[in-house]
Amino acid sequence: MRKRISIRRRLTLVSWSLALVTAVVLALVFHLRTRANLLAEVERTLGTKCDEVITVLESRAPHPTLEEFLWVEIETNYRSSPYAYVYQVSDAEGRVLARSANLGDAVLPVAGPRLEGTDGNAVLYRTERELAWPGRGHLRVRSERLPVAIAGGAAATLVIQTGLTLEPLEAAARKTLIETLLWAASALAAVFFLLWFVTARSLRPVAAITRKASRITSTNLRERLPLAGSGDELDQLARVLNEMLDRLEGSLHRMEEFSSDAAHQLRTPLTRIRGELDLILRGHVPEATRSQLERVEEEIERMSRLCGRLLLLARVDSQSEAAALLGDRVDLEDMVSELLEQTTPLARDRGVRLGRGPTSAISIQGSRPLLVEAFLNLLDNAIRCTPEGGEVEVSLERQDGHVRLAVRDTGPGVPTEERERIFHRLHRIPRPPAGPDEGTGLGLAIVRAIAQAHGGRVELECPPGGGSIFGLVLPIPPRP
Amino acid sequence: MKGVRLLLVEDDGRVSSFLRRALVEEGFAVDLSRDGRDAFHLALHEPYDVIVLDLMLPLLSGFEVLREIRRQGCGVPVLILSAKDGVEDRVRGLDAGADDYLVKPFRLAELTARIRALLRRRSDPGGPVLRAGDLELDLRAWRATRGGRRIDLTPKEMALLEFLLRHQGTVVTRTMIAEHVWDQNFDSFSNVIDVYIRYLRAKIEDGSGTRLIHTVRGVGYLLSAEAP
Repeated sequence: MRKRISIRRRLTLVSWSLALVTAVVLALVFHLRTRANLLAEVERTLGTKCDEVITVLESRAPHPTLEEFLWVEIETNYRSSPYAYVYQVSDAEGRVLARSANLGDAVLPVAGPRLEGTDGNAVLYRTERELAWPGRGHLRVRSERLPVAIAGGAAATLVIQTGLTLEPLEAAARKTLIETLLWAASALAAVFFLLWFVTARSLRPVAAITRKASRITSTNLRERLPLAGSGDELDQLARVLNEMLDRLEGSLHRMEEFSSDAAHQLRTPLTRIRGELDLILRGHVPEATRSQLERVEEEIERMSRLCGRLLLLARVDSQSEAAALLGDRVDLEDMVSELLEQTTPLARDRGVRLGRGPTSAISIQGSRPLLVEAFLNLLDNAIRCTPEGGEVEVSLERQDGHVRLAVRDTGPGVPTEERERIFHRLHRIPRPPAGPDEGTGLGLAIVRAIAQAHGGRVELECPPGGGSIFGLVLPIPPRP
Repeated sequence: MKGVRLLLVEDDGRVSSFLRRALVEEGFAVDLSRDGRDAFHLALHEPYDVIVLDLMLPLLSGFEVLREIRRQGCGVPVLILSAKDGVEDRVRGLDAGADDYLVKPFRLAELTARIRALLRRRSDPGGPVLRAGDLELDLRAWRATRGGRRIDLTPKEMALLEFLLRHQGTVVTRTMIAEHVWDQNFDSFSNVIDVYIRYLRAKIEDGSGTRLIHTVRGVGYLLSAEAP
């Protein structure tokens, strides 16, 4: 049988995978947005720094040299800044007028090749090389070309550049990403266990229902499936199943009542006749009358047997498929062995060899007394219509989802036109008469009814070589 | 059998009338009760040796009567008469505390044989060695001997012999044998029993000894060391 993944495992895996995808997507979006926001902040700061330089340039009284002025006014400010800013002021011709010391020998180009955007008349770019702080990444630079009136003098076009290394920012963003992922991983592990237990918990009623349902048979049909009282889907399922059990119990009860009444009504008159007759026969009766009365008694015997078989048939009929549903586990191989052992002397007595063909260990759900009845009927039939020196063989084999209990005899077989009719009720079998223990004409009808009550059928095969094979074919239920 | 008091509980007038006549002819002192409540009181207050109980009764069903008297601690052997012959009906009857279960219609001989078996069971010492004349069955050693000579028996023959020995001196019917030795109740089973009785006879009587297993025509078999 194909291995199926349990609902619990499936539910857990699907929900967990969804949680995993959600967590990863969220972490990435978070990371990218954080980085973008930080970058925007940096750009704003660079703009502010640029404005500061301009303010300083415009407002301060002239110094001996511009360079000295800038150095004093700005460098000190910039030094104390927690962020490592660089700046550079050049004139329109590209001559550097002033620059921060932390740039060392490097000169910021007016516009880098890796342009990242513009902001008004400012250009934003990233430097090609790692400047100012080796090992700390590229600089983000803002270059603004604009006329500035230095210390209130004539306006001259200057290029003012401010820059900042992005490395601390990138490092922070990376760290945040890693931390987010770590948190997500531990949250996912917790979610996994939570799901595993929650699904187990919510599926527990299913296990309880299964356990209980498999224990309910015709002998404890009063029992019901447990209701959790939560009103959820599983509760509804249990309620519907319980209603089905109610109906089943009701019909079984009505059937029992009917069969009990029928048995009483049919058997009480027979009991009276038989009893009275027995009493008469106990007394002194003329020999001729006695033999007549004994024939009457034989007829009553036959009537009683017929009555018993009819009642059995009615009982099996009314059980429809309930026998298989409500029965116990019946070990068929064990049953065959037991009945073969019991009937062997009978066969030997009639000069018939009773053999055992291949049998395999098979159990089915059903009523053992009924299955015994069906099998004994077939066996008895086969032994009766096999002539002396003949052979009867029993086999029990598995056939895709079914079990076939076959009884083969070397008797005269059954004529084609009779093959269906012999299963009809009260049909007289045109086979060798069965002697004093004449059949009631119900044996095979009972076998068929019992097979149907178990969801199966009876087959008859007459091989060309003679004899007949009766096969009781019953379904094997899948293992719960 | 003298001095046996029997309570017959049966509501059908015609059935009870011939049953009573037959049982009185057998020598039992018979009290008749026609409904469950009456039967319950009689069973509790009179010292009966055996009760023959129909299941379908007015006022209290046979099952209820049986359960109630067993609950009150009354251990009198009870034989159920019932129109239902299903295995489950039989099991339900025996579970409720019955000692035997007989399906209607029955032969009077069958009923009396069963009643005698019930009465006998009470006096059965139940020892491990059963004897009849020079035949001995040792249940512990699982061995049968006749006049000291060992007899080889199959397990079924052994069980059959044990049943006959436990009821020696009383007639056992084929249905009783089928129910107790084979745990089976099937029409053609009486043939199987006849065959086994023949095997058993051939083994334990084997020419020399006297007859032990006697056929009682139309009823069943009787194991007895003395001629019946």
